[in-house]
Amino acid sequence: MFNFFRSFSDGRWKSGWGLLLAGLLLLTVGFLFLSIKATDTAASLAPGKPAPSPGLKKRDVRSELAPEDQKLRKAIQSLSPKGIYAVVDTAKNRLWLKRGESVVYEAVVSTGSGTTLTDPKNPDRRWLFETPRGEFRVQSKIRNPVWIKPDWAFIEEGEALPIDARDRVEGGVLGEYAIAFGNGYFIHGTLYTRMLGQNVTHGCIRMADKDLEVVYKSLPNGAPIYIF
Amino acid sequence: MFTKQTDHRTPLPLRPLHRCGTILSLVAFLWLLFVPSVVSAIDPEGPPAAAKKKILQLELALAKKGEVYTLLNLSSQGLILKIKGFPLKQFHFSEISLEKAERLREPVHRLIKKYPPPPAVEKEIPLSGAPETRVSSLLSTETVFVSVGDMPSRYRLYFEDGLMISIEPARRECNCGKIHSGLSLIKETAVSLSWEAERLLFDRRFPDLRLVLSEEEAQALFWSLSEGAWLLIDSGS
Repeated sequence: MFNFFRSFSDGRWKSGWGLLLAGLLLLTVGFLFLSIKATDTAASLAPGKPAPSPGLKKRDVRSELAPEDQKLRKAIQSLSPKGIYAVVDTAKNRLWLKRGESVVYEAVVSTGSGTTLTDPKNPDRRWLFETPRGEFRVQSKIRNPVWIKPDWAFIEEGEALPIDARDRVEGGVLGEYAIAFGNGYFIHGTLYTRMLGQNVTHGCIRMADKDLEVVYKSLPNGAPIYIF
Repeated sequence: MFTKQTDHRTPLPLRPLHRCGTILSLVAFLWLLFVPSVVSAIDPEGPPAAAKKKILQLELALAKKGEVYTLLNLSSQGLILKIKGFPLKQFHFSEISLEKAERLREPVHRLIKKYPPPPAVEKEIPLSGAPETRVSSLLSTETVFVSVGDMPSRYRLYFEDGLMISIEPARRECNCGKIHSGLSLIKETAVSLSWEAERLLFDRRFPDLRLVLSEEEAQALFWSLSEGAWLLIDSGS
């Protein structure tokens, strides 16, 4: 051991010990430099340069394992639905029944057309036929539903608004089942299955009969429906 | 200058120069011993950990709202649509460039405008007096609708606090001939330059962040992002 120190102090750098020490020192400096560099945030990125690849994984893991972070993650996870729920992608026109992270059932649907309608007699009355997005819940489930036509349905068809409320009732157009998820929106059937997979509805979610039956029977009242 | 050392087993007393070198060597050796603990002690609860915690706290607050929000992770180059803390859809951008980092210091932003706006299609009302041609709205087979394919793939997102994000489509790989691919490259460049020039004239500044996605993903993202929705930016620290 003493020889090692002597070789260093004697200036005999070519000896093995001296070289080893010099190498270790260089490694130390390099390691320190990299460690400090990895702590830089995106705020320190040079303008116009691509983002770096993920920083040191060791650091990420350490921060993930911090007890407070774990607590927060658990709190976020606890908000996820517990039982069965539906997810609807309005861009792809797909509906998934899910339990946890696993997909139980997948179906093609039709969602809102994104078109607008203006009442010619009152231009302030406008409707945007879009499927609402966000978190909803099954509010009621109806067998053999009938459609109570809203005002826009008459305006769209160029008809006068009916005086008698019974003239608003139309049967046989919603399929065998309907699932209400709020604000007059339903998941229901359709006679025109060839339009499934396209954005053609007034905001409701249309499904083929056999898919609708599965969804109707799977989703209990109160089950969450997430639409995006 | 140095005394010749004849016997290593019985070292002679060290001279001052030797002693100085030995002390230096010892310091270096001890430094080496302590380096791991020094490195691990750098900022264990400093900016990266604090930023991560802040992101999680903000995400928890957003998740509680029950609205769709977006988490943009700069280091993993991913963008996730989430609701209630669980992912709905994931986008991956092929390129990312940061023009101004100042506005990204605050991780949460509210989208106020998409430009250009989504295409608006007004429904035509048929003339009354031809009842035999009318069918129920739910039975109509009209093909006028707006789909994700009608959405722009090159657009800008404006946020409440002034943050501006530019979304651009990735260049399409063309397996066609050299002339054709050259022409399409010129066309794409011209479109890109005219768009940049127009937006620069209007905004009078460059976007803070540019994200490049495939054309389909850019359109799907436009479709999915609603005005008023929250964006959470994780700088990946």
